[in-house]
Amino acid sequence: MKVKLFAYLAEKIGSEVELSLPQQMTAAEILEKLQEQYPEHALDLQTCRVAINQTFAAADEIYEEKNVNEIAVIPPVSGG
Amino acid sequence: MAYIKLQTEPIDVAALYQQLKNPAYGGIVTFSGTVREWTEDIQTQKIGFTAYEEMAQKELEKLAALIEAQGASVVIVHRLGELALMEEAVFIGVAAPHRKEAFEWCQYLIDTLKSDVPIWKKEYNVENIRWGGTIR
Repeated sequence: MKVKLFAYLAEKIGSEVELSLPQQMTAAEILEKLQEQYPEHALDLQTCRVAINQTFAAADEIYEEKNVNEIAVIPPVSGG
Repeated sequence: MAYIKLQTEPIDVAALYQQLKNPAYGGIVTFSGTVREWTEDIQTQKIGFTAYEEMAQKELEKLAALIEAQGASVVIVHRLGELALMEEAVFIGVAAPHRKEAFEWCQYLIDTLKSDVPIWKKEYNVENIRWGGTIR
């Protein structure tokens, strides 16, 4: 499944990465998988939130793969 | 219906203010966030803004809808791309029947934008380049 990255994560890793995910997943698991795949960026990933279908996902809410159209990792925001 | 926009062109504050005027409202509160040169001893030269645009637009629309449901009119515009010192990065305007709620809602919108809307700044400082939300 494709995962969108932004800000410094996009600069360091790329704006989109491929991640293999189970049929059921939580935001916390998505971050863990990413940390496994990119251990050198684990610290940066620790502070991120996950958006599923363009809405923030609670860390422990379970999502079925078939209902997930878009995953994005959201570093601490700094607009305004 | 709120006016919500992410744009690369400069923010026309006067025109957005005019959009908020309406005989139903007696108070208009606006907030403009501009590019500041000094943050303690860090000297900034310019700031680049990027966003998860589709989600940021949706999040801002949700926030504005929450306020408009209480009887106000909302304008939120955020700039993307590179901005020079003093340029407006964000404009928030709330028109409401009375001043108290206009102040409260404007404050709520900018605070929530800053904590929850997926927009990021990259500061180009004299000493370094620094992403907002990081200490590096």
